[in-house]
Formats: sequence, structure tokens, C-alpha cells
Amino acid sequence: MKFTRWFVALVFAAGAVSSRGATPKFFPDDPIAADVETQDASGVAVQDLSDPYDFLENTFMNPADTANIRAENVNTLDEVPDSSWFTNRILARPMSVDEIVRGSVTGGAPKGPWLVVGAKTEGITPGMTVRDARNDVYFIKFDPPSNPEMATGAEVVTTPVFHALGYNVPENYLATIRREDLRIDPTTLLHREITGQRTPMTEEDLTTLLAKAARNPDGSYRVVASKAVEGKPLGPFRYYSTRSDDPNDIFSHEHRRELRAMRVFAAWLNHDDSRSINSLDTLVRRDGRALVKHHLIDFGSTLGSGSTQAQKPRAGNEYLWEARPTFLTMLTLGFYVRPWIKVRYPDMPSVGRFEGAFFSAEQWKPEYPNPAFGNARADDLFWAARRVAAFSDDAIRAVVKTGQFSDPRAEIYIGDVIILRRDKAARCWLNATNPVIDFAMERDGTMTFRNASADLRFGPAAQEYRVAWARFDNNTGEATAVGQPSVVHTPRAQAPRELQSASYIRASVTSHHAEQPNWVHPVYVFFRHTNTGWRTVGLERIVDRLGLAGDPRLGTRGRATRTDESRPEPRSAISANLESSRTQGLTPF
Amino acid sequence: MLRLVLVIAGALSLTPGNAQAQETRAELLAEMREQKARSLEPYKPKGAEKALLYVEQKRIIERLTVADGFYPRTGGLPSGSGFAMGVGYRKHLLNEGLFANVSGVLSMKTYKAFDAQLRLPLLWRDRIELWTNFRYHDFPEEDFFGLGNGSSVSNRTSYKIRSTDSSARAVVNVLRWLRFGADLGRYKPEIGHGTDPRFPSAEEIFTDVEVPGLAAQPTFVHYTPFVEVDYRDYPGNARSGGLWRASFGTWKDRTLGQFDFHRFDAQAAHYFPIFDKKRVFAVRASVSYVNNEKGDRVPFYVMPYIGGSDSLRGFREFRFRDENALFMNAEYRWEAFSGLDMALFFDAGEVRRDWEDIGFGNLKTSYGVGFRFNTYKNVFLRFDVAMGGHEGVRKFTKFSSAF
Repeated sequence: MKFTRWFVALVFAAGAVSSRGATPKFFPDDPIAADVETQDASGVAVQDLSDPYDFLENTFMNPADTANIRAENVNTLDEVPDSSWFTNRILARPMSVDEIVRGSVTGGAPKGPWLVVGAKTEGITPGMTVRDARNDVYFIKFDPPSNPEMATGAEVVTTPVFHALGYNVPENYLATIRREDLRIDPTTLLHREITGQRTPMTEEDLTTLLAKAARNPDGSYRVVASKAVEGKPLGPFRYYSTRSDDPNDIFSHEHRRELRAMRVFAAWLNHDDSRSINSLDTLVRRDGRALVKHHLIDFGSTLGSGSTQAQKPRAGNEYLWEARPTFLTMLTLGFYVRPWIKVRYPDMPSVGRFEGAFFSAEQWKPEYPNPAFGNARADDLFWAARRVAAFSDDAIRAVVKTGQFSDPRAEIYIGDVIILRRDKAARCWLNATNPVIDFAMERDGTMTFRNASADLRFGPAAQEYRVAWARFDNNTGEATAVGQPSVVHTPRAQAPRELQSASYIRASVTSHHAEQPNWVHPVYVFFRHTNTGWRTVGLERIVDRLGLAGDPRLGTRGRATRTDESRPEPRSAISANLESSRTQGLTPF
Repeated sequence: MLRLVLVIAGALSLTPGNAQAQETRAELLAEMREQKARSLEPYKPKGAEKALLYVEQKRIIERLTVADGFYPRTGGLPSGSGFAMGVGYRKHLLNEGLFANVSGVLSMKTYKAFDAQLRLPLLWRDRIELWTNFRYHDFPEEDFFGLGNGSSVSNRTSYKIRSTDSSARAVVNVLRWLRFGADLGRYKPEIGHGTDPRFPSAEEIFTDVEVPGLAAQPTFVHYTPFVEVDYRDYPGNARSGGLWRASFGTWKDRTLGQFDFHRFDAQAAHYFPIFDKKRVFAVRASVSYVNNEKGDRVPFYVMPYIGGSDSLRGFREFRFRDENALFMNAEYRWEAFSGLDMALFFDAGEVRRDWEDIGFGNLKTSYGVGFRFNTYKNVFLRFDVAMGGHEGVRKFTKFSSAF
């Protein structure tokens, strides 16, 4: 049955490909700035996620499509259009330090007295749901007694950074509550660990819950109040495939640029818990339609925090399960010592375990494999690195200040480490491919661009750039070389005079420096002739095989079913046709 | 994936020959979404995911482990009793002040146990615990090899022991790391013919003179105060700290007047962590001795023993028994990954008739390797393989930490 469905689908696809004529690579509205979700998604249902299954599936089964292809949702300029997943903020436009610090906050801080409408007393992580005086709902999270200020500080520092990066995140507020500020709603029920029943919450329950939280010297509690995100909760999203009941969700999540590239952001801020359970889809209304909005939530396990304790030394350095170090350790009777075990951390409870000297942007790992992270290529990582590099020292220190750490050493230390990790991430991924950006062409055919790595001093100035020119046929996708490749020593080149009459020009640019072997990968940039001159309409970074090192999933058991034009692999005629059609403009972008 | 192919195929069929239908990128994307809208279906978990979701949503594990009501009982019988299964019922009463728990279990080798516990309301801000216990045990083929350090494995016999023990326990948790308390109870054993078909019954090989208590069993009243200093980081999977425990029991023969005795047990364990507790040296020493009243004897079934998964792992359970026992364990543990610790261990111990004969010159020893599947706080599965006792390779599967 399954085979029959596949066969029908492939025949359908093959027929579609063979019957088509020329398709433009660039549509008139390219590059689009927003991916407008046109379908009503009101039929989307709540999806539960089994946390243990998510671990098992991603650790041992690898459910994603691991094809080495360009991110599917980028526009023709290799950027991510605004969508229900992502909004271009930092780098796309100037952001002041105040704006970065403000993050997702739209209103004022929550106001007491607070009515407890839900609580979790089981386990080691206390939590509550409350309504404030304005009737807004907040999720209240505490610090563990062993590490006052750590989890709450990490959450309020990290949230605005992810917001500035472009993700949908909750409004998180640092607040102080007192026992007497809390009132229990008489209808609040608690699940009883002992009896298995749900019975009304009591004052004693509240006392039990608060006993598990860090307490200020004056008896109050420092908390993060996380405002409930807009819309009806639908459960978490997965980092692979699409949501089968959402008509607008057409790009496989493991091939979404903002999810692949999140690996860089997660590494930077040590968000090792970057997995499905810490995401949330909600149903919202926009322009009369129901749409699914995708959020990242719960940043309590970031920086040096492990939410309920200081972050484990393994976090960020090794998956929960990895065969090689495990068997090495087993077979050597423990004499093989994983390098990260020896890392020393400062003795600051409000920091937890966070450092930058040992940190490697390339080797960093979340708790268990994230399929989108595993698919990240050098172009995805470069895209992310530019955003990381866009955070100034001042912005970072201002964001860290919002953590309100009572130990001034903690604030300085966290700021220092974030800056150090920013620099490492930027240096690593800005140089993992050809870092040329911001192409423009003047009326006379003078092309200008910039070197992102050199401009930000994460790499040297290129010794030379080599530029090859071609007349580009937008309907057939064919590029016909014009003139001889030129060598320039500054990011400026002149197009051959013959191209002045062309409708489209394609320039292939490589950068060269003896210390930067990855710069030689070409960047194709496309210009369209318009009434007002040349407009940059396309950019493709031709990257080598996946840019991630140290991921045991890569190259060993991944299902590499497709590759892009940078590395053709033997394929069936149908899949080759499909691939060909995708690269010729029949794909969404 | 299939859906993606269909969507792309649909989009392709619309774009090329009739590419005029989509003249913009926005139209193409809209068409792709329209295609998908025609084949929507709710997400349906299958197989393992469906099963795990059911377990989580129905709170199956919570119901089986902590909730009031019926629960399955699988343990509580001696090693070697075979696969066992039973049922229990527990209930919190009086606003969780009173806790009652009754359970029974039956093994493949017809070992039977029935236990009933009642915990009275906690006192002094939960620092004082009062328990009452009733136990009925019927173990038909317990191993016995004779008394003394030189007992021969070829003298392996079995015996049946059926007992009832009614007791009360009071515990005072003075500090987080310090507790003391006492047990007071009435113990009535009956020794009978061992039913293990592979070996003779104990009374066929040994006499009551050689093995006190074989012929007749009294009813005991026992009183055992204890003190415990426990500063381990996580008692279920200790990586640092230590545990010191001592108890001194007085056992009075209330029916035969032949078996009055005292029993002293002491144990000390310490854990030395290195590399952020990823490597641990764990050591433990344990001594036990019984001291009969003048003219009285100590029944063999209450004598200390060594051998088995908790003491000398290269030997069978209950391999050596006598009035005095000493054993020591040393383990080097290392974390293979976050869910598994491995261990190299060395055990040594001996039993003696007289305490003065206990020494370090003629210890029985064994060594081996262990696999401990764990969470950070608890070992939930332990598999130890031991050898060196010249009695074959011993394998143990347990659901708790070694020590």
C-alpha cells in the first residue's frame, strides 16, 4: 500500500516534470521579504509529544531527511523571509541596545496579588501558573536552592537574545514574590503523587512547593514570570518533517534555515535543551485567518544553568548517548578521560557552569541530536554567524544586566563569556564558507560587495577575489560565460561591457587567502536589469559537504537521499528530474 | 515525505506548461499551500511513540509506583528464589497521616511472602516516624553449606524456613544526616525439610549439635536500637560522602530457654570522587558478631553470613555462616555515559566461630566487573559478574546499588 502511494506520487511528479516548459528562476516579486501563509489553519489539532520517544527517536533512529540540500525556505537572496516562525530583526535592520534588551516585552511587569490557578509540586522543579491583577496568565519559575539567581537569570538574559535573533519567544519578567502575595484559586486542582487523584490545592501545598525554591534573605522569592504566549496551545513542533494538519507548513522543518542555523545560537548561549519539548505551536488569528505560530519557550537551561542545578559538565560537549566516548571509556576502564571533564568553572552559584575557553562552536552539541541542527550546512551557519556577530559588546552587557545578579562578579563573568563565545562562533562560521555579502551593481556595471569576516575582523582581508561573469537566461537557467575571469584585490569588479544589454547577469565570486581555505567556494550572485538600473535578485553560496564537525550522525548513518548542485550524487532519473526542477526555480525559492 | 512529493508534484504540474498560472513567487507558494490543504490529516503516532504517549498520558508509571491502590510486587524475596510476582495494596489515610501497605508475592520456587506495614502519623515536624510491621515468610529451599569459613561447597544443602515477625520501629531523624531508632518485635521461625531436589535437606547432613537451631525453634522477642550517620550525596547512587551504621540487638528465647543472644552489626562506607564525580572509589567494611548468653546457643538462621550479591560476590548467597563475620568491598567506578556506570570490584571477607579469630590473614576474596544503569540519583539495574572464589563465575542482576 505504501509502495503504491509512493509510486503514484512519483509518477505524478515525473509527469509533471516532463510536461513542463521553461520556468523562470526569478519571479518578478523575488526576492520576497515575507512568506505569507495563505491557508486557514483552524483545523489544526493539539499534538502531544512523548519526551522519552523524542530522545529515542532522535538518538537512535534519525527520523529526518538528511539530504545535503540548501535550506528550502530561504528566498532567492539566501535570506529567511518573515513568517510565523521567524521575523527578521537584528542585522536586517538597526536595533538599538534598548530595543534588544526590551525583547519580546510589550507591556508592563505582572502585578500582584497573584492568583494561583495551577501548580506542579511533583519532582524537583516547582512551578506555578498564576493570574495577576490584570488577569494575565503567567508561568512562574523559581531558582533551585543550590543556585539562587541562576535559572531565572539565564532565562531573562537569553530570551531577549533569541527574540532579537528573530524567533517567537514568550514575554519573560524577573519578579519578586512573597508568600503573602499568593492566593490560591479555590478551583485549582493538584495531581496527588500519592493518591493519583486531583484534589484542591491547599496552603500546605503552596508551602511544600515554595520549600523547593531558592529564597531571598528577606524571605521573598525571585522568579521568572513567563507570560502565556498568544493563541491556543497546540503542543510542541518537531525539528523534522512538517505538521500534517497545517496547510501552511510546507517546508520540512529539518530544512528550514532558521531551525538549522539555530545550532549556532544554541551553541553560543549553551541552550543544550534546544529540543521539541521546549517549543510550542499556538493557533492565532491574522487577517481573518487562523494560523499556527511557532515559539521557542523555556530558556531555563541556558548559559550555566541546568534549570534545577548547575549545568552538567557534559552539557554542550556530548550527547546523552554517544557510542565512541562511551566504549572508549568502558574499554579503557575509565582511563580515557573525556576532555570536558577536566574543565574548571568559577565558584559562582548564580552562574552555574558556563565558560568560554574550552567552548568550541564547531563541536558543541545539544542534549541529543537535533535533526535540523544535523542538517545545517556552511551557508546556514554563515547566515547565523552574521547575526551572532551583530550583537555588540554593549548590547550583550546590557542584556546580562537584566539578569540582576546580586554578585557583580557574576554579571561581569557572564558578559565576558558570552562575548568570548560570540567571537568564537563568528570566527568559526564566518570563515566556513566564502564570506562575501551585500552585492550591488551600479548602472555602469561596477559590482561592489563586502567581506563579512574581514569587515568584522574575524578574518584577514582577502588577498584577491576572482570573478567570472555570465549572461543568465532566467527561463532556462542557463549561464553563458562572457569574457575572461578577472582578479581583483578589493571587493569591486567591473562587468564586461557585453553584459550591459543582458536582462540577467550572473557573477561567480571566489575569495582567496592562504589561511582561509573555505573562502574559495564560489558565491553566485544574480542581477536583474530594471528601469532604474541593476537589482540584486539572487545569491547562492555553493558550500562543501555539511559544515558540521563532530556530529557522529553525519556521514555514518544519515539517509543522504538528496544533494544540491554543489555535489551531485548518483540518483534515479525521477529524483534527478525533481532535483533539477528544484534548482531551476520550481522550488518555492 | 510523501506529502512533500505530492505538494511539489502538484506545484510542478501547475507551474510549467501553465506557468502563467503563477506569475509570482507568492502565487507559487499559495498554490503549494492549497495543494497541501487538500490532503491534510491529523498526526497519528504509531508503534513505540503511541505506546509511550499512552504510558505518559495515563500516568501508568506513577500509578504503579507511588499512587494509592493496587500495585504489582516483584521483589522482597531472597536471591535464588526464582522469578516472583505478587500484588500489593497501599493507602494513605487521615489526610496522608496514616499509611497502610499490604502485599504478597509468590515465586516460581514457591517462595511466599506476605507483608503488612502501618505508618503512624509523623511527629515533631515529621522527624519522628513510627512503624508497625508484620511479615510472614515461607522460603522452602534456602541454601546452607555448614558453619565456618571452611565449609565445603560439596556440603550444599537446603532447608525450609517459615517465619512470622511482628515488630514496631521508631525512628528519630535528628538532623538531615543523623538518625537513630529501635526495632522491637516478636519473631517465630520454623525450620523444615528443604525442597530443593538437587541437594539433600540440611538435617540429612548436619545434626543439631553441629548446627544450632536445626531441631527446635523458639519464639524470640528482639530489641535492636541503631544509629546511622548518612552524609552521602545521593543514597541511591552515592558518589561522595559516607554512611556509618551500627546496631545492637538483644534476642530473647521465650519458649525454649536455649537461644538467648546479642547481635552487633556495624558498617562503614565512604565514597571518594574524582573528576567531578565521574570516577569514584567506594569502600565499605562490615562486621557482625553474635554473642550468646552463657550456656545458650545461637540459631544458625540468624547468624551473620557472607557470600552473594551484597557481600562476597564470587560466592553463592549464604555461602559462609558463623557467629562472627567480616567483609570488605572496594569498587572503582567510572561513568561510561550518563546512564551507565561501570565498576571493578574486589571483595574480601571471612566468618569465624570466635571473634578473636577474625583477621586479615585468611580472607576469602573475589573480584569482578559491574554494570550499573542509573539516573543521577539512583541505580535502577545492576549487573555484576564476579569470580575469584574458585567456585565458578557468579552473575547477579539486581535492581539497586551495590552499596
